[in-house]
Amino acid sequence: MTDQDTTQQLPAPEPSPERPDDGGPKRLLRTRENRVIAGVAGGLGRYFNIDPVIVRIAFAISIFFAGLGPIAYVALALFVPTEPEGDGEPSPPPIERSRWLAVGVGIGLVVVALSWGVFDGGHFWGGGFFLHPGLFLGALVVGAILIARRGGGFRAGAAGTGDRAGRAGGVLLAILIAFLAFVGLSIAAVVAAWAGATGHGVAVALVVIGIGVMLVLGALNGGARWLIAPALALAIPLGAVTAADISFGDGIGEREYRPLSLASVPADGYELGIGQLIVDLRDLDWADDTVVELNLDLGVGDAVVGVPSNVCVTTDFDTRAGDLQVAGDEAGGVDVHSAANAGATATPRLDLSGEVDLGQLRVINDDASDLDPHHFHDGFNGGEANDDEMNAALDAACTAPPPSTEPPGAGVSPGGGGERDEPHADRGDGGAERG
Amino acid sequence: VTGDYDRVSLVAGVAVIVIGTLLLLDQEDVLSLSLGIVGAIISATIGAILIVSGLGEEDRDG
Repeated sequence: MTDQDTTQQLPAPEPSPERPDDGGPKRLLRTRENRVIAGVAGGLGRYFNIDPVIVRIAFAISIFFAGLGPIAYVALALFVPTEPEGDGEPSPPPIERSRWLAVGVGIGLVVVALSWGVFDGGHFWGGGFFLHPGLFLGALVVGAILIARRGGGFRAGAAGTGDRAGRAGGVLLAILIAFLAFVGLSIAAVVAAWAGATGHGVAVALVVIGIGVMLVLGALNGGARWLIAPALALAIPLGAVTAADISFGDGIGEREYRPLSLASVPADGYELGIGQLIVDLRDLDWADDTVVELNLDLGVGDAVVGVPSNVCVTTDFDTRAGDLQVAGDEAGGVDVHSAANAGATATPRLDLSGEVDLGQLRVINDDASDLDPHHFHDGFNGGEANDDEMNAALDAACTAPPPSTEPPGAGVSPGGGGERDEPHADRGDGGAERG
Repeated sequence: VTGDYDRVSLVAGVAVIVIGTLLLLDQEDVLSLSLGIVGAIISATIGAILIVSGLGEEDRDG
């Protein structure tokens, strides 16, 4: 397990577990001695009769190709047995010794499910129970892999007794089956999500129920565990799309609106199914007593609202899962509600309401910042103003006393008729769809 | 496989039927599922399958 090990000479052609005395075919095994992490590179080097250092260099380089090397390394570490210490049989791969791992992960997931409400579902992904949603998703992935692995089919050719050629072929067959299963399940998941977002979720739900019935019937006839994976591949995306209330009906793409007058702000606000929605209100004719009520409804994606730095912003905004960032203040997680500056009466003021089902809302109160999320670099605003500056500006705008001459908002409700400016012209027609 | 039936398939089947039924009811606007509820149901399903699978390993290995 040292660097010195990596330069160890290849073993002499004396009998070895990979090259059995009986002249059988070579077998890929992880090495015990010539290992740095899990003996994968040593095993590959021995199997292909090349220096393990070359394999390790190849793994290192592959990091820069979408990280395929590390993924392959982990997969091999999980599925490839370790060479025997003596003349015995190779140690089974970790995935074969997963009984208690399965039980542990299973108990963990059940505890998570039961404690969802206890640990405040609204802050589940952003609070203290899990540091990052990736951990939760990782647990689900591990659980799904364990189910698939333990569901049968892959056990043939694994550790244990049997002929070596069959086991070597079994590894390759398992990799092929896993790849094909991954592709098939991915397609099923996309179809289920698409069906749910286009109003055809009933059909998918019926298919899920049908698979459940087949599982029960299969249980009485020796088992049908392989059906678990397609059932989950259909149910999980459909459930996510349904719960997030995602709909493709409101359009897909990138839209930017830059109304030039209050009358051009539609009374029912702006809607988009999936994509990027930018509403730049910085060119509006903001008077000292102007109050704009704006509603946004975005299914999946990024919504960005820009206002001048002297405008107070109040929010009554929700997200099923995502982030709500108002002038640097951020709230993220599941079922998040933003009520920034609730009750503020200062003017000029933007009263922002609506929902981003899955994604982000950013309110940027800066006169010069670029609102295009593609150009965000440092933090969410990425423009000339930082979070602290915007926060200070918003506080100042919302604590300023309203003008005393007339009630705030008089005669300035949006969409009230009159001249209507078109959305920003360089993004196409009627909302400037692009992309 | 235990006796005349496979416990893992049975548990998974019942859980999948429950999930499918809930999704169907949601699609028909009989109820409204939140992401938290869906996540909890999926977690509980996968967890239950893993527990039954792990505890039944002796049966599989004979």
